[in-house]
Amino acid sequence: MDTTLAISEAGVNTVFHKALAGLPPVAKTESQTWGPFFATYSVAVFLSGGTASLENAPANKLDVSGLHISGSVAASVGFDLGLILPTICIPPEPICADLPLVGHVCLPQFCIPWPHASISPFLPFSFNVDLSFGFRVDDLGAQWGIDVLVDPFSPRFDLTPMAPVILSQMEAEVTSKLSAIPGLGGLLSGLIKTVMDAFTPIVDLLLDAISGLINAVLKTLDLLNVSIPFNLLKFDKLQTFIPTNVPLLGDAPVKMTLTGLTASVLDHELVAEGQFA
Amino acid sequence: MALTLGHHLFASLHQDLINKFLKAYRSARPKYFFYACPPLGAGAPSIDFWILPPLPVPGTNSGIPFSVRILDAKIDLNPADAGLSLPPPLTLGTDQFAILLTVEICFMCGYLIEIDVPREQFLGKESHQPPPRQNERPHNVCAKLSIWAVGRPVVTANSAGGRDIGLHLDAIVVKDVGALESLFECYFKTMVNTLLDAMRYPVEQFALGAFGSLALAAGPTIVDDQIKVWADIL
Amino acid sequence: MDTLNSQHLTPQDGYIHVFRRPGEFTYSAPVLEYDGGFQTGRIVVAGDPAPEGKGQQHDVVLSWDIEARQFASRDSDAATTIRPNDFVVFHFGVAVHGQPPCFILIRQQDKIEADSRRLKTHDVFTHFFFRPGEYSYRLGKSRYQISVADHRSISEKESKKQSKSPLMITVRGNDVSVPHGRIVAGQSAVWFIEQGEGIHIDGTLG
Repeated sequence: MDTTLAISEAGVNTVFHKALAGLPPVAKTESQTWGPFFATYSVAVFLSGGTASLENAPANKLDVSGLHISGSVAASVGFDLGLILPTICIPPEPICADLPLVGHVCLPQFCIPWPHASISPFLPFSFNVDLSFGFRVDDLGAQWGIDVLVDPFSPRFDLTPMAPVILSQMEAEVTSKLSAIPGLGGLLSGLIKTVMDAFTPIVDLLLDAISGLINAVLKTLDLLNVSIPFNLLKFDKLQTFIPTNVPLLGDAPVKMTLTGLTASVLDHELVAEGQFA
Repeated sequence: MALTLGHHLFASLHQDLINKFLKAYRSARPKYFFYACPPLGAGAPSIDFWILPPLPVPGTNSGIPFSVRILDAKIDLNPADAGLSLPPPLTLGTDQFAILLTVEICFMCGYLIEIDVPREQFLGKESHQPPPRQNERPHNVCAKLSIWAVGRPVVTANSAGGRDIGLHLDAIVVKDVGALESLFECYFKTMVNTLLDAMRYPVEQFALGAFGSLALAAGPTIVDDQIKVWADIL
Repeated sequence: MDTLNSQHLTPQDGYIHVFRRPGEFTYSAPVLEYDGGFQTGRIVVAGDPAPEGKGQQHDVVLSWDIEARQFASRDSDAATTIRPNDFVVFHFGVAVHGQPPCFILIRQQDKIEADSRRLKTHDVFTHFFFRPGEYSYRLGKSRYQISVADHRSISEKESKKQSKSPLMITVRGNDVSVPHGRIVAGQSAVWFIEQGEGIHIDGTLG
């Protein structure tokens, strides 16, 4: 072999973390309705951290433990209270008065136009995942790439802490909207309960949907996509050993072609060997 | 056995690659292997050959065109290849390389080119010194020399704030030149060191440009027919 | 704040008309100036008159038909028979999204018996105040005010007590008996036209 390159586990960690830092943030948005409830939620995901280690040939693997997946959900949840609450006309008992030359007049009741309720909770989340990648050398056209391809994995994360946040925000919103309506009196707490009883099961459905979207977002990252290799290192096939005008103005560049590259893990080092024409 | 020895990166260039590099250098920059005063040069001046002034002839204000051409250059990294026999006192020791050159020197005899030496020319005019007689037809006279040298790898700071790795001669032998040996050894050691200095390149090139910048941590060392460096990824 | 305008009736409003004379009347609730002659229901005034000031209340409840794009009364209100001196309270059911305001037109053949846009003697206009605020309205050339407090600014007990008594405003020409009324959201105001012609209560003009 004309040239040998070996990267230690510490070096691979540095390379891996630089690659992570270079990943653009990824986001996706989805909407769903469940009966009278509708929600739009956007998930943004960001990767960081993790400790890389190398498994020797024949496995030739990069293992990353504790890769930190953090992100946030910006959700908007709303519904028309009129689709949940019964028709209530106020005041509950007729108000009557005697009008001279007219008679004993009982005034019309007013049937409450229930308002819309909506909240926009901001829900951060984070969890760790352990991953395993296989190394491969890919022909990228003008370059050779040392790429990694992730083995299938199932991220485990728990969004249940989001539920009380969503519920308390919605209860505050519904309470605020309903308490602004005059004439409800003692009916208010019962109406709030009716709404929250209808909304509470929706929260589980919403969290399931958000969970599905997080998984979908993760799959859009090449690093976490089992079908798309992720590039760690690139080597120009046409290597410029001495550039133009060095050391003298007018000097042509000195280039050689890297015709082949292999990569494997030996002694917990990523070892690449290259051949030149 | 682990190669990186506690650093992020280990990179080595094998002697075969060094010799391929010499060929690629010669092909891209022929003038670094052929130095000639124009009547002896071939091809485009400053591209195919490095322009030399004529070699002054004492007693004249003129010089003879001459050329120096490196016909062959080969590097052998420690340990020595079978068949390498260095003339004494040269030996290929630890952390050393040997370079073998075949050099051709030519003169164009019977052809003089005036050289500008103001003081001598003034005196010549005052005393009406006749120009030298040339009663030969111009013709090339050449000689081949074999040159052996040993040296070691060196590190120099470069203009990009990093480090360049290069080679530098420590000792040289030019054989079969009689009394001129020490003169030629001085001359060619200077010339080859200048050439080697034009061939140094940054530590990042050892890692084939895959890393934007590296901090040289150990080496360069010559061992196992390779030039080895260790670096940390910045 | 609510829209307060007796010429454009919303679900918060009521219009009351006393039928003094016997006869057959038709009523409609047009949205546009020209009602197209469509009739919503019939009122037959017949029989022995009730004592004046002691008439019976009859309710006509109007709902917006989205498909037909017009107001319709309940089936039971399609034809109502009342006695002279009885009164009809025109008001609305649950508001439908997109429901426009309207006015009440009562006709006896070609003659106009009553027009809620032009209140006259013994007509009544009611408004249920839903939202708090400072309401300023014009009646003829005069300006009057009703301050509606947020129901949360007083105790629930007090709010309940207040909502049982509407604000009664007697109108004589351009004058009102209560130039500056003070109520709480959830209370109604009642404008009784003791004497007047072509009256309207307009809270929409600046």
